[in-house]
Amino acid sequence: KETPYDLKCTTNNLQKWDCSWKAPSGASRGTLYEFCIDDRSHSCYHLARTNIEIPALSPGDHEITISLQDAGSSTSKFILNEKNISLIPDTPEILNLSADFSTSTLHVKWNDKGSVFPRHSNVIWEIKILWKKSMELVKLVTHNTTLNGKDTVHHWSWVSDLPLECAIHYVGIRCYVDNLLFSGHKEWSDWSPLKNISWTPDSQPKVFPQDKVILVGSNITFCCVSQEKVLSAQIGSTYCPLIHLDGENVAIKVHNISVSENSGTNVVFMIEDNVCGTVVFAGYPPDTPKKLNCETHDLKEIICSWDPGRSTGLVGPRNTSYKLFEGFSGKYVRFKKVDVSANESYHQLLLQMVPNQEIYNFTLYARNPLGRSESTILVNITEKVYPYTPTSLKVKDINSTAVILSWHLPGSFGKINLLCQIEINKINSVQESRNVTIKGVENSSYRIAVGKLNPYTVYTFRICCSTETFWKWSKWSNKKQHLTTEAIPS
Amino acid sequence: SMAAMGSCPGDFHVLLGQLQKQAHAMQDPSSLLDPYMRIQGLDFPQLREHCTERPGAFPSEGALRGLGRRGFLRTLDATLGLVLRRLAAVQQQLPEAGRLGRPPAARPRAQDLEMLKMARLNILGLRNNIFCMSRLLGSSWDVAEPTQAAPGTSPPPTPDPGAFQRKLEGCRFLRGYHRVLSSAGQVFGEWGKSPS
Repeated sequence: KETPYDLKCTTNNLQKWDCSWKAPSGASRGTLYEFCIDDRSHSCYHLARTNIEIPALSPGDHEITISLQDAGSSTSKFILNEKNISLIPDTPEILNLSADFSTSTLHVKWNDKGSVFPRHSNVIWEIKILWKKSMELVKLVTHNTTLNGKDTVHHWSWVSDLPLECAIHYVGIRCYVDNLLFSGHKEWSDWSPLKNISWTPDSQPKVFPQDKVILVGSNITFCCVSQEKVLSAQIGSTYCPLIHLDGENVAIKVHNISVSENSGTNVVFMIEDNVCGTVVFAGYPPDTPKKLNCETHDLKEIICSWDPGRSTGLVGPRNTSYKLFEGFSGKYVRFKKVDVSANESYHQLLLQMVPNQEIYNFTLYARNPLGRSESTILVNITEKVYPYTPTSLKVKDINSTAVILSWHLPGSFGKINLLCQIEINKINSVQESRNVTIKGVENSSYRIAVGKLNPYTVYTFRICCSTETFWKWSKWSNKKQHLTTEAIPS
Repeated sequence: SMAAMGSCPGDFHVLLGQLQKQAHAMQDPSSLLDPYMRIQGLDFPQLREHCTERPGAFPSEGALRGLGRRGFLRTLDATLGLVLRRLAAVQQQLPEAGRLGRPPAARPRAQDLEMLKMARLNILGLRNNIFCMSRLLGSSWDVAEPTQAAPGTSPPPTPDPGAFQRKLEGCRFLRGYHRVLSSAGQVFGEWGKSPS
């Protein structure tokens, strides 16, 4: 070709265009060129190379003239339009790649260099994750952001299925600026230089993840980082096919894991004359506490009990912890011990009543490494009194047809009325039951007169109580036998 | 039968007989190691072969024999103290036998947990008789706290090796424990032949 040809322009920031052309045959390296733009100012540039950076031109056609200096008619004309321009962003750079090995999470940080772009643009970032020395692609994801005219640092995290200790991981990033006002051709940037992260193995073989707590039914990958050849691997009693990684490192994939034994499920890798392993604890998050009930025996101490529901399969340090929170007073109590009743396992918590507070807004929080749940109950505690068993039942004669019953019923019942049932048994006679309402007292001592008895007759008394706003009867007191006095001869 | 907790038979040979019987019973791995392995999910042939006594963790039979009677009793008592601590750590990780409201498939066999509890009681019984024997031998006895273990038995604190390694270490430890009791049985046997 006798004149400059093949003019191509790209831009990496929409503000400058980078144009280059091919030199005509015969042009030497030091040839001088004149590059002119047919715009209002008819700007021309003189240069000794075949590329130039010019300010972005306004939309529409622009005539470009490139001529060889001192070479007579060696001039070419081109029509340049934004449509012919390719927007190829600069190659991005990862500022930082870090790993949280305990959670197998990679953290990527990069700067979007938004300051070089004039207008707000949508940017699509593509992040690729490779692993093993053979750099196999393991993940390709897109991440959308918006350029806002300033340099902004972005963060992106990714949780690996495979523990990061098992193999070297590489991360690369590229971007695509999707500026809606730019009419030219848009292309992906080049990939950033790869950054990598790897774990420094020590001499002893080691299995990862260590002591993981996971949901029943999960899929999980374990690996053994070893200098020596791994012969086999098993989870519990099930052998698993080995997946070979770098060197002698191997992995196994477990699908739909079942609930673990209490001591966890062993994952064991057999090596020449050694063994290494880990334990996985597959369980459930805590069920929503069922049958949450709060009551009191004595209007001093509140007892909340509940059924924990489905067993989580997790015990010991992974056991479910409970916290009972009372909304009005802000008080809370942590769950300490378990009571095993005859038929089911239920839990209970005790907390002191708040002086002069009758309404309680309880929320029971349940939590274990796999999740949390809660139940709530709003109670007027004076309507949830389940009195203790009446004790020290005594009988004292008033006369031959009336006696005084006295008993002890622990509780601060001074502000409420009690409802008691007195059972009166006479040998060879129908059992009689009388309900009486009694003013509650603070000192737990109660007495009541029982009349209309027969003289010189053996009676057996027993008593149980509840409150006027009935919730539960107490258990029956012990029985008390008594012979009424003889009637005075009339 | 094991000596009741706290009471001491006054006769040397009666007490020695009980000690021999206890040592003989407790050296059997089925009394503690086997249930431990089942509970910990280690009950596989290829894992069993890795459940070997860690050299130096416990005194050899010769070393026990060379300690003399009082030293032997003190060392045996300290070793049993360590075992009690190890058992307590294991039981902390597991529910009570009776509190097993969990899916049957995942429930450890309740009797294995019971056997762990029995083993603990047996150890307490043996320690009680060891105490009685030491009194019989006229030695003053300040209860050797578990930390005063037999030489070379308690490794310096190291970073958490992980649950599996702890299980395996527990297994090796109990293997050693049974061996020590077997050796103790031998030594007690030799006591029988020479009263002083």
